[in-house]
Amino acid sequence: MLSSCNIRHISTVLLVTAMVILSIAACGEAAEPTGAPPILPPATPTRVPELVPTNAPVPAPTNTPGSAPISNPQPTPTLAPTPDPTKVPYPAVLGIVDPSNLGWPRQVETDEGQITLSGPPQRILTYSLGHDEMLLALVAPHRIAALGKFATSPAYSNVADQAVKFPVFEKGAENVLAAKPDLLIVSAFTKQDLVDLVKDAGIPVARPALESSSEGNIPNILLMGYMLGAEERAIELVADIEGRLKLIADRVPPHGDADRPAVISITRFSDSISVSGGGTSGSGIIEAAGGTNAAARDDIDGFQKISVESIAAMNPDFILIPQGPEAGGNQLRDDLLSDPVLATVPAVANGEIHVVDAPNFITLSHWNVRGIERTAEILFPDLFADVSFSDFETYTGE
Amino acid sequence: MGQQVRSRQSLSRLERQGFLLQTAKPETPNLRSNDRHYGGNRIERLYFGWLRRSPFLSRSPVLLKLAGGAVPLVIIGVALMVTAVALGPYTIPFSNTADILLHQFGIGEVSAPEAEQAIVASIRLPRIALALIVGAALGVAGAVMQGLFRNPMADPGIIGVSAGGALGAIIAISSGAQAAFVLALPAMSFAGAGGTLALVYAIASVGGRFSMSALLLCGVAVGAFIAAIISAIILFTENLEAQRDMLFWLAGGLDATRWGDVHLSLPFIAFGVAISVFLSRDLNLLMVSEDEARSLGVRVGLTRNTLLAAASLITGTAVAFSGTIAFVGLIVPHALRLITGADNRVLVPLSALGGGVFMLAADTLARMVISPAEVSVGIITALVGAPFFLMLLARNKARASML
Repeated sequence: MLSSCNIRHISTVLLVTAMVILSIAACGEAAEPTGAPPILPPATPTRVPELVPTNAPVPAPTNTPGSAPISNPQPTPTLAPTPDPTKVPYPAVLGIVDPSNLGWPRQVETDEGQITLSGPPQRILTYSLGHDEMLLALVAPHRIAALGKFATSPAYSNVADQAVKFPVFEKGAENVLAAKPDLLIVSAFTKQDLVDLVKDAGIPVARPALESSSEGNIPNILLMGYMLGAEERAIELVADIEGRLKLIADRVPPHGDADRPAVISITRFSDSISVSGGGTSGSGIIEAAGGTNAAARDDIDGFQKISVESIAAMNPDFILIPQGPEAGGNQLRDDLLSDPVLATVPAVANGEIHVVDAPNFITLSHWNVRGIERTAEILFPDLFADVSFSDFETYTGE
Repeated sequence: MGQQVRSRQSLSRLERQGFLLQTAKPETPNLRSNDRHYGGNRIERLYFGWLRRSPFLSRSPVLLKLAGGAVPLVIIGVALMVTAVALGPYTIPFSNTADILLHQFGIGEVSAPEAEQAIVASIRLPRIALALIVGAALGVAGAVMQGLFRNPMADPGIIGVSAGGALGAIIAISSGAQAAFVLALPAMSFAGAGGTLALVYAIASVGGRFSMSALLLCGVAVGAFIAAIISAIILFTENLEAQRDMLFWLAGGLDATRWGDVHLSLPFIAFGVAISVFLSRDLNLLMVSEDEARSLGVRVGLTRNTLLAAASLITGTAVAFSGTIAFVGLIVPHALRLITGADNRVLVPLSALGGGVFMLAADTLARMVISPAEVSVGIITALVGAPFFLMLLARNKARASML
């Protein structure tokens, strides 16, 4: 039997712990965001007639936990529209041991330590969906050993159409080994136990970062391009991403502008509505598309549960629903439109509730640029009436 | 004649003992005075002195104890209700909230904007009502289960009823029935809880010899079995959106409560609570021993089964409308037992009040702690409930041995 003294101590400790946890939860600052929202340079809205690749420098990548930090951000590489890998070193991308070495063998260093690649990997396995989407954009299909199940799901994947053509592997160390990869790329979400087992089997493992913002992923794409021997394609992809982002940033009102509409991105599962707060990919998309994330403005960080009353309190001009139309997206839109509590909220009064493609909004790869483009079209239809946005292409070369 | 004399003597002994779990803990001190259950400080003596002035209460120690616990709980509950209805992410002036509330009871005119009226009347009030109802259900079910099984670890889900309810809900989501018919989820959850009770009871009665310990073991085994089925369904569901639906449902909570939920759940829970309160005297006797209860004229099998069915009915209904919320049914009866004693005639109705008040407090905290976002109410019930209960245990060390 516990003595009353012990019980009192335990209860005091538990109570203090509870108070600490609740106060941490109450202070938004204490929670570390999963990724920094993209910081775009102020731009004056101007009309650009067509999408033109630009020579914009690679922005300094965000230095979030889990990402490869940039040891020397200056000078940043200049990306030409038709890049020549031999002339484009990678001094700003940490993780490349010798940026001047564009031959083989080459070394890269990630959170899993330094690995040496004797030649371009030919049986590549990626363990997270974000890396799957980057991989398909960078290398020829025959170099991909298999893809995870998530890659084939239209509810989550931006590359589901292409992914169904590949062998699917189930998660787990044994299945990884059975796929006989010559390089395994894992993310911060992959268990260390699995990584250690695969490494013990002699398979090189790299753990490049995945970011919730497009700009944050640029150094990750360049690093992956280098380790896969796909530098030229990586530079093309980065130029494409930056061109698309610049087109949007040049036209939409700059940060802090009063003309930026208040936007929230919500989903509903089992009657629980969740909102994308600060630090989420949805928040980054809204901000990059010229809106203000009303949830982040009201000090919500990460994905959080909210009530209909909170939506009324945020009073958004637009509501985005990144949830399949038949998987509850349309139903949520209809319910919000008919809810008397929200009748005076501008988004509801003006019918500005939009069911959008979920994969564009939840991805941790460059595909969230498509989410930015779609959101910009919704928020500023007049500004982008002359532009026809298209999906990213997968690599089809040899 | 001899039997009647013996019955009266036994009953009198049980009354004196305050229905503490004497058979389970023979060393339990014998508390002769009912007032002792409330401690002896000056405020409590004044309080009970004041209550005893009522001629109605002074005649019955049970009513006195009931009123002694109910008055503070009702005062706290009303204060919480006013707080909960006034607070929320949408700022509404208190005068407008008061106007809207009074208007709900047909008093006065309301001048507040329509959005404010809708928020108070359609969001906050039904949520407060369901918190009270679900909390009351879990509190009463916990008290009844702890009494029936003479086991302090018993909670409303001890015989797998909560797990059965959860399985029904998960099947409703994975089969698409929920999308086709809005009441499919609560209906199937309810059916799952009832079906589990029937299954567990049938297994425990195999061979014609029913025992409560067999029922307890069967309940634990069936609960674990059902939990495995739920995990398997979630894991093998190809539709990832449905998978998220299930996970969110399992997390539980009272967000998105509307009046329809209150109207549907209230009759079942009120019926189950009423039966439990009505049979609380017989539950006292069952707690001592089934033989003793039988000798005092209690129809043991019928009473026990009725109480089991009532507790399962209210647990199943609570699970259907709020998901699985842990801890309320476990600690509320214990906390009250430490304060009021173990007489179920007092404990069961007070568990309804205490459970409702505790749940409302937890839900209000869940709504406000990171407003405008909110946390799952189950996190609050455990985070706040566990230390609170341990503190109560430490302060009542002598009574803790009676649990």
